[in-house]
Amino acid sequence: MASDSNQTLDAWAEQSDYKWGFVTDIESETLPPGLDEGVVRAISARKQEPEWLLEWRLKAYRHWLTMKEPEWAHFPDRPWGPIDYNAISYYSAPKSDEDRPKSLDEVDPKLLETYEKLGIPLEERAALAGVAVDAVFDSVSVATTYREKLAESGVIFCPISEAVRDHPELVKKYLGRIVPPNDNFFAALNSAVFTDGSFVYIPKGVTCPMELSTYFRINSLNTGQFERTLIIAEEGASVSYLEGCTAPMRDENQLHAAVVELIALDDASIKYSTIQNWYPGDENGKGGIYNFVTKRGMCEGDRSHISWTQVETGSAITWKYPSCILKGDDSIGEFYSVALTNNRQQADTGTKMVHIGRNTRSNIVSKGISAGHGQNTYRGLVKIRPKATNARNYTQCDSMLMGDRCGAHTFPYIEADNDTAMVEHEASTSKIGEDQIFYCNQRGISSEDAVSMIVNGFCREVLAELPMEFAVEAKKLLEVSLEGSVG
Amino acid sequence: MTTETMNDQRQFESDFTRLAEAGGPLAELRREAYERFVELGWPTTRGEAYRYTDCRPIAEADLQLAASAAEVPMDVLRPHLLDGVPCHRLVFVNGIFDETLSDIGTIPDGVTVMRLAEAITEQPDMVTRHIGTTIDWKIDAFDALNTAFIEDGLMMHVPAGVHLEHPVHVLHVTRSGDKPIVSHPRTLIVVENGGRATCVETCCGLGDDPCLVNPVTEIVAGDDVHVDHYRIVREGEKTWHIGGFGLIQGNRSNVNSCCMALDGEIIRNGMTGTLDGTEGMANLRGLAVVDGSRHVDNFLRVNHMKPECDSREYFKHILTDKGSAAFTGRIYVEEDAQKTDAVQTNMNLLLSENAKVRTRPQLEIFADDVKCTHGATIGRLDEQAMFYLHARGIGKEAAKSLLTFAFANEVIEDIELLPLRRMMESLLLERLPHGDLLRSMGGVD
Repeated sequence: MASDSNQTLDAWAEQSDYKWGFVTDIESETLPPGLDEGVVRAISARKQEPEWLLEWRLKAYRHWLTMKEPEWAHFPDRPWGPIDYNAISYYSAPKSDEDRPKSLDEVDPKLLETYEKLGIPLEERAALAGVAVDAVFDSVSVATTYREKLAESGVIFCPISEAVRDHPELVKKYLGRIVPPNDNFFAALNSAVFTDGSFVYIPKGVTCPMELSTYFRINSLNTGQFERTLIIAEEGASVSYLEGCTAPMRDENQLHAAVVELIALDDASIKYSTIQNWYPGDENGKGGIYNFVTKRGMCEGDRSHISWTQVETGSAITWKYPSCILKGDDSIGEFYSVALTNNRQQADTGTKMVHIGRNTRSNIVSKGISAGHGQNTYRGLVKIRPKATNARNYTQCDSMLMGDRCGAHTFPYIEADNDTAMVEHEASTSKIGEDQIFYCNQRGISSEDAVSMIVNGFCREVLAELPMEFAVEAKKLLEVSLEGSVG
Repeated sequence: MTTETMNDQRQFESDFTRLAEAGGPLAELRREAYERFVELGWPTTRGEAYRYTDCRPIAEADLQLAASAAEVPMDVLRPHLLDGVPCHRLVFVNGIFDETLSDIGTIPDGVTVMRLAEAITEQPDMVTRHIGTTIDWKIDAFDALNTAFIEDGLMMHVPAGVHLEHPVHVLHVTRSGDKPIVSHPRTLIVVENGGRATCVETCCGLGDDPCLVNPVTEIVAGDDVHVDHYRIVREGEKTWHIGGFGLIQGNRSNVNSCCMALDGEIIRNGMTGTLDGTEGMANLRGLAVVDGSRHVDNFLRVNHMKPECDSREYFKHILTDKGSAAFTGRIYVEEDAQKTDAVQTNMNLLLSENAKVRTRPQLEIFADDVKCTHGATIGRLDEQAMFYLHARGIGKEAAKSLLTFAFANEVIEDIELLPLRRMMESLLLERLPHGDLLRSMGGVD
């Protein structure tokens, strides 16, 4: 490789300052660190939850105690120390909890400022893009916009704690149905101590009039965030939901163990998009967020459709496998992912597509970019159950490597129990060629722009799946993650 | 890897003690391996390595080493022999060398083709230097078990610059009886710089009673070496064949290995290839015809340790009846192994609705300037191709056979050893409906 472009690529590995790292100085009402039944009861009491939910949490907690923490990360670069679950505070709410703001004007200006710095001006975004925002600041929702407009069409979009109060029958029916509390270690933990998250209900035949959006942000030192999101699309309903996040710079590792459940009934369609840009740690791998998320969608009805799109650029360690259970006949599951790891980041992500119904189809496109010492892994399962006649799956996993100390790994599992199944899996690994950079330089394009262009081209199939505003943000994010490190 | 103790591994204690008393240069290795086996226990489906192969029936069987050789007439062996090509032939029955059936013939000067048992006493340095270097018996219970019971098998040594003209054919015959027997044949092939050799292994079974065949073959290839290796598995109906294969290659070496899994209740083919010199080429292929309620598991790992090596993995499974097949392939690329070119392909043809397939094509890459691709497909015969043939007056069954043969032939057609290729073709045709029709159609010559 020519030394010029070598430098260019090496420079990619260098850490650009994390622009969005700051701590908002708001007095938080926080439970002391530690986890026991008392903490679970305290969270439930503060949320004024009904008895059944407290029981549900306690059951999850007791089960969690019997479970073993998973340990798969086998990369020596970043020994994953055990998480001290008693050093985490499980509840943190902004002080103004007693007197919650009714509109944006009443929101603590400091909070708004925080969002401003993040580049998410709530009003502007809401007004310009017609997006309703359910912003989660630590654990309690502080602002919900466009609620009325949504209510007109019968859509419920509210914090899950509110849904527990106002729509207990729906929550009771669906909570934990897709991701049962004993599903895995982190889902069990989440079920015991979840504090907030979003609840979406789209009634029969309704197409949600706007894209729903929520921003998660981890604040308050030593506070793990345990959101719980539940989206239900009734027959013929359709919704697009956006989730995006940034977190302040920290030196201690923070745990994030969210659970997202999607349910699509007959002819319903749910599109779930994520941009994840939490603090990845510094160039030596100090600090950063542990992002251990359980996301699962159930295509319960015939001809239902669930689509996951994610752009993962942040977090020190990401373990995330948004999955689809294709139960209804003719249902469709999709998974589009871009994961970028730089410095000492590790991303272990992929999907599970479980084909149960007839004529079910799934499509998986995963793009991994590794730079520096980053380790990027695709791990996925395609399972064709015996009764899933005419199931189709197409999987494509592409990896791009920048620098000679990073890694790209692919661990697909394919299990077919039906002879009519057609399953295809393809994967490739490549790097940015010096000839490509040279070609661009020749035409007056700087090395930095060239790399950015090539990366964007590499991810295009996935970025094209994002809603427009999000696609712009995602593109920017990829650039920022590599900004100042080239040339 | 997590392996959980499933049963009492001490069932081999008395056999092992008897063997240990004999001592010899491998006594220490055997003891270590035995202890490791006891530690690991029988693999379970909860571990990743044997996730798709249930070893419980093996663990539960009361397996014993054969006490004496069973008698096998030459006629029974004949269909397994290669026609029209002189071979150096060694035959083992239930793990015990059979002198009357063997025909080692004349060996060129300097070349060693002999029983491993003899080599252990006659060339102990050679054996101890290479044995156990290509496989990691510390992680695989069956490899550990084989290593614990190394007693006999084949030892081949080709010195630098020598081309061994005729293939070496080693046959492991298992004649099952009232008691489930176990054999652990070991093959060690060492080819020095610039050498060339061909080895064919046939594992065949007589009788339908349960038994375990646990062969391990190791190839140590120096620089500029060319080795062709074939393993044909045609065990008895109730035989569990859990085979291991290890390969380590030097600079510019070229090694081909091909495994045909045809008969046996469970056939596991574990392969580890390590490219430890630059510009090496490892070409691993496999074909499995899985009918009845057979289970075939191809479990591979290719380690690219040095730059500019190529590897190819090409495995095809044809499944009918209640057959099930699993494929796991891992391409591992070290940080230093730049300019690696690795291709991995696993194709599965499902011919019945009860067939099952599990496939895990995996890449683990720590170098940036590499070209690694893998692909896996699962599907039925192409409807359009069927229609095309049908429209030209070829009946449904014949068309099915023709297309299936074409699918399988891609693995076989590259076999350089002509008599072996012919044998494979006719074995394949035997298993297809209207195979004789295909033969007469001239599709196969």
